[in-house]
Amino acid sequence: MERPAVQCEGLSKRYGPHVALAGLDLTVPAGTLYGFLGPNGAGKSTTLRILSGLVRADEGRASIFGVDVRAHVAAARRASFLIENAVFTPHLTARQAMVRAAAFMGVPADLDPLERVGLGAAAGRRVRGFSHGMRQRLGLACSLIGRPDLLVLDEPQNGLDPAGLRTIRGILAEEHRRGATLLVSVHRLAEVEGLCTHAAIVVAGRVARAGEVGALLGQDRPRYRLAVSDAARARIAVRDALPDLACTGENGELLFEGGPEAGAAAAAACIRAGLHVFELAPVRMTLDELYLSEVAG
Amino acid sequence: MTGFRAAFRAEAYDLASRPMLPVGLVAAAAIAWAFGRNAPFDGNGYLVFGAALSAGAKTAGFFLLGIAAGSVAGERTQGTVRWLLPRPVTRAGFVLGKACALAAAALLFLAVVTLAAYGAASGKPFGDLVIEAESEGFEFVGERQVQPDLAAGAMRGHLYAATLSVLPALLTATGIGILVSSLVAGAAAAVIVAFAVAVPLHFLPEVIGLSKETARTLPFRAAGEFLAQLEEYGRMLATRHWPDYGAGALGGALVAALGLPLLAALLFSRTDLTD
Repeated sequence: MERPAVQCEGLSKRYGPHVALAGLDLTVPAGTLYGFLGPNGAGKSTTLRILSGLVRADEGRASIFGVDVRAHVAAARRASFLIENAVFTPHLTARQAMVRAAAFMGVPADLDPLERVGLGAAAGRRVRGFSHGMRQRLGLACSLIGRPDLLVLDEPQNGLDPAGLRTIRGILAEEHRRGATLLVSVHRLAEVEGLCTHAAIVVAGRVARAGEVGALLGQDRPRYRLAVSDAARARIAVRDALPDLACTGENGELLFEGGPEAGAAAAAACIRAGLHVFELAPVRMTLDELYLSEVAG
Repeated sequence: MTGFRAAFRAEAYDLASRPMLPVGLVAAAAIAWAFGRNAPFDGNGYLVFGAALSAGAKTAGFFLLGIAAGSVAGERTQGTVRWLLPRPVTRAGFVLGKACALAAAALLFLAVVTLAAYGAASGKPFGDLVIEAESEGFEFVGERQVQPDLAAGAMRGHLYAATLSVLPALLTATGIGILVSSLVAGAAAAVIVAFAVAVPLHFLPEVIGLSKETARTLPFRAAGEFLAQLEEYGRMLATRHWPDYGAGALGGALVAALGLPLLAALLFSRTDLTD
């Protein structure tokens, strides 16, 4: 079994009196598309900077495919990073920026990623004339050079228009299908929801929740919502008919944990009690809701 | 040095595409040409060449100091360092790659200035020279002068030596620039600091009361006095000045030229790039 693509153990980092990381633990299994979530100042960027070798942790250990990031060159050979906003030497053309990036990687220049991010027609234009979104696309294109095994992207969707967001989502999905591991730091969770297989929520320099997205969102424990004409009477009816089913009720709705069979049984109990049932629907928590509950909590 | 070759290739590519490089090359060549064509002792090609070389090399030194000072600091100002350093290259390799690309640029500057100096001297008679015993200058006495100190044929070798002796000074200029650049985060600040360091160092031996002769023997004089060195390298046309620039200042300049980038690489390797 391959080592985790990223492993952080007890990472701590201070900037003067400010604690950026307070013993962060994170494991990113190989082959996953991992969402790295958290509010501003939670420590996401510091973690990614430590992985990229830009800053050093005060304490703890971080590794990429088992190679300690302090051995930067060996660790970075299988990884590619896009840290914060993509910036380029302004006098270079997009093509020249790609050639320079390839030279730094020690691999032959490959201009195919420019086409993939939709910048094929702008390859000969100087970067100084690029919009923010075009620079982000170019940054992503440079990150794809050499088909890295691990892509670490810090806010790759920043400044992108809807078409750009769609392109990014498509590329993330393609890279994941190719077998690459992706660690993607994001604010706007809706943009990666449905793509991420795993996620971690960072709060105050620590990982508050982490794991498979399905488990985090409670998909292993399905919940249903029953809209009825009288919630108080419905609770009594369900409690009498299904005493093992834990349910809560508010605003004319019953919420309970259970599969579709339990939902159907609860609805039948309400109908037998003479209540009107307006809707029976599964309740799906979103990453946004999970994130907000962790950050607020 | 891990990743050094990749960094060198990338930096050479970047440097070659910078507008400042052709501007500097053209400026150095133009100044060399102008000084050569307007030299007061324009009767002898060797002297015209020396004047042109000295002026062009000084200009090259200024440009190289500025370009080098902006090299690492510029990457930090633009933010490109966040994009470059996560690549598989060490910080030391990154800095030394830049230093070597700048050294290649220094060679290019020297080649261009030399060509311009030859151009300025073309059409002048490359005759014999006599060194005046009591002065440090030269005197043109004509091809038919009896027993010349420097026969025209012997001058050619001295001229090559004078030309090549400019290189350590140019490398020292880039070394000072890249050292400052790795310590100061902002590009504009780094350029200002580099000139603020280099120019006072130029006058330091005189300020502390060293004679010119003593100052010349200082091993690291070129690090502080690269401008003065450039000015005086022209004197290497005369063999009697060779000892002044032999194991002492010339060797020191080479040590400084190599040592300053190494020091820059060491210091930059220890920096947290939080900006």
